[in-house]
Amino acid sequence: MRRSGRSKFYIWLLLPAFFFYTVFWMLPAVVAFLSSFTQWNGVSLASIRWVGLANYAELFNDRWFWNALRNNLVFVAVVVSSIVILGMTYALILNSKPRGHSVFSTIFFIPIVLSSVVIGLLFTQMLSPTVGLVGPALSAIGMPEAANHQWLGSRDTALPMIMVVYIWRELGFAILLLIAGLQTIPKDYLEAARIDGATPWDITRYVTLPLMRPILTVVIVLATTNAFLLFDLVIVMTNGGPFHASEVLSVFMYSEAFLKGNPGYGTAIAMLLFVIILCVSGLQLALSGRGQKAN
Amino acid sequence: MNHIRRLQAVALASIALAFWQGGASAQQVTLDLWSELSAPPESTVLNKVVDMFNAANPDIVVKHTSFENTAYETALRTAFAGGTPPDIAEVNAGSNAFQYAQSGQLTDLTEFVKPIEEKLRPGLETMYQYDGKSYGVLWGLKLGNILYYNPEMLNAQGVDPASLATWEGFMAASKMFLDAGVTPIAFGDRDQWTGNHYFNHILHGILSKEEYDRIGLQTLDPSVTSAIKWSDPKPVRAWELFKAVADAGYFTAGYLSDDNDTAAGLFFSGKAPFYSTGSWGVGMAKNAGAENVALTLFPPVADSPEPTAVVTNSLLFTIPSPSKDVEAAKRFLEFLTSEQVQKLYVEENFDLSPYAYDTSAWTMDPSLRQLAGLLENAQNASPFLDMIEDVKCMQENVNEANVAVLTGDLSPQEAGDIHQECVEGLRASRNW
Repeated sequence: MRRSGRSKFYIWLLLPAFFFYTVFWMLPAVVAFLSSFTQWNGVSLASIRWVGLANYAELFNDRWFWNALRNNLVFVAVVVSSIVILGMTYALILNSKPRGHSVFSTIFFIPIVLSSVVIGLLFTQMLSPTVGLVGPALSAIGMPEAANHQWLGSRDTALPMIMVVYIWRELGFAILLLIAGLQTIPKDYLEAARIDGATPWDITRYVTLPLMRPILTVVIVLATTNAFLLFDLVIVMTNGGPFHASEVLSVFMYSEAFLKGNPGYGTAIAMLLFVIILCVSGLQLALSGRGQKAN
Repeated sequence: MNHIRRLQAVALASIALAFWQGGASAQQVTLDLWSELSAPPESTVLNKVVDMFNAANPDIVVKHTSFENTAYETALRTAFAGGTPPDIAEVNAGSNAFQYAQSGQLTDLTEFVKPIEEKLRPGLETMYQYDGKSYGVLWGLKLGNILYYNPEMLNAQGVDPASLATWEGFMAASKMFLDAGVTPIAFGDRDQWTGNHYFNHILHGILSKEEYDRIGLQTLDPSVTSAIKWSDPKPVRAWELFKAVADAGYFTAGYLSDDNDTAAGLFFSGKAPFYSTGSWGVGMAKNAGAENVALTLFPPVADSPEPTAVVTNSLLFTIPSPSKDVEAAKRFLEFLTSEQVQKLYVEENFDLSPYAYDTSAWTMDPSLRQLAGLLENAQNASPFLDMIEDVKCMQENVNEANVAVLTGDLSPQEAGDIHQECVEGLRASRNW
């Protein structure tokens, strides 16, 4: 009786959160899913037309969808691996508390508190061949031909430049998580390894990294999900251009739904993006779980 | 006892007063007006106009709610979709308004607008007429095809501003600057609309008004067909001329990665002698404190059929279909077009009027006076292409395609071909 009364109390406590979750997340998600099977001009409910799987069929024949997906996959592969490798390296260095480590930590963490839009605008100005600092700097070090290069206006360099800025912005957060993970490793293990004659590399390879697997999984899943949802930096820095060269799925979705007035098609893209992220994250978690069992 | 009677009398008087007020408010109608004019001077002017109207019309109360520009379209669409739009709504003239009209969301104002049209500058009716019906009244007017130049730099280079009357003269002047080591045209196409406007103005100079209006409207209005195809030599020539500017090296170095503000900054700081934007550039120059700024019409090609024609942009005040009192809303719309209101708009908003009032006694800045002169001398006026073409074909085949032409991803002919493909596909999908 007492137990049942407590359960009811917990249910009452959960209700407000459940209400907001349902109304502001679940319901819009269901509506978005349904609208991916429609064609609509976004103005009158009377104009909604059920088209079944037509939006999805059109999507698979749309070369700009494949272009955006390819850009997204390349982006995710490069930035996630860079964030994990650089993040782990810096975390190991900072965790050993070298001289000035607090200054370096602060420098790495500054981008976390800056808005993406501000960062994007800052780098756009810096990289501009007409008003930026990068051009004159390259001229000064004997690369005058690179001074007029349109870093964000060239098909070859637009996406790589966004990657660099993105890694710079996200690295601090990964380092923060990884340092927290490193500090949870019992010192006894490290000392025991040292007594057994393990080199620093051996300790990292056979003690630190296996014990860091759970936190590395968190870092990888978070970095992958965030990288797939990349939007703000692209919009601010290149607007997806030049001519789709830096367009990723979320920007493609925005363009179709809002700029071309096709919300049904836009939500179909959003649904596919959701499925892709779900699959990739699930795969990462499964691989990590298997690795942990093997250990 | 007296005390109780006094209380009863007060109670009765209060009830009577309440009924009297209720009766008065029953005769008075309150109209909700929504607009995206949320920043001064535009918001200040509209609020003044609303106050003037309310003072002159005690039976109507117009309540103005302004939204920030980007949030407005979402708010308005949601209200229309939910069946709760305001009684009077400001919308972007052209394709935006047509979309609402096409969905049956706007009141047909054809008969109401007829007497107002008599004072409207010719050619502007394209902005609010859809399928032969009129859906609103215009408020304010901006000119799009304007070329700004730095007279001091032109003088130093020995370029006569009169030579900018044609595209060929403009290109010759640009070459003189480039030969002297100055990149002549400040341009930033990162956001695509700037390239859209360049192409728009070049094409507008090549086509007649009839051809220009029809090639755009054929995607919006089932009753309009176009004899000219996008893949025909005339539109393809416009793409070729646009590409030639980039190929010749006349655009400033960051033309694909800089935004319009950066390009404007280069021009206003005297680093480039030419810059093109609409009549709003005059206000931008003033804000930037730029002094060496003069303007002329965007140069049309030498064989232009209508070399003094202008490209325009305007806002439209409409009456959504579920408006609670259409007749009262019409009175407000009529008031917006009156000489008194248009004078206030022009003088305080630094903009032009779509109505042909005698402005000689109006207080106007010399630059605004010059713009008004260009408008008065124009053979005709047309809207921007993005106001009269379906958003899908426009976005893919002008906004995106203009960048592709500059990068070489599309040849001018290919740009024309895919545009025509989009138009034909769209008309076929709508059974037009």
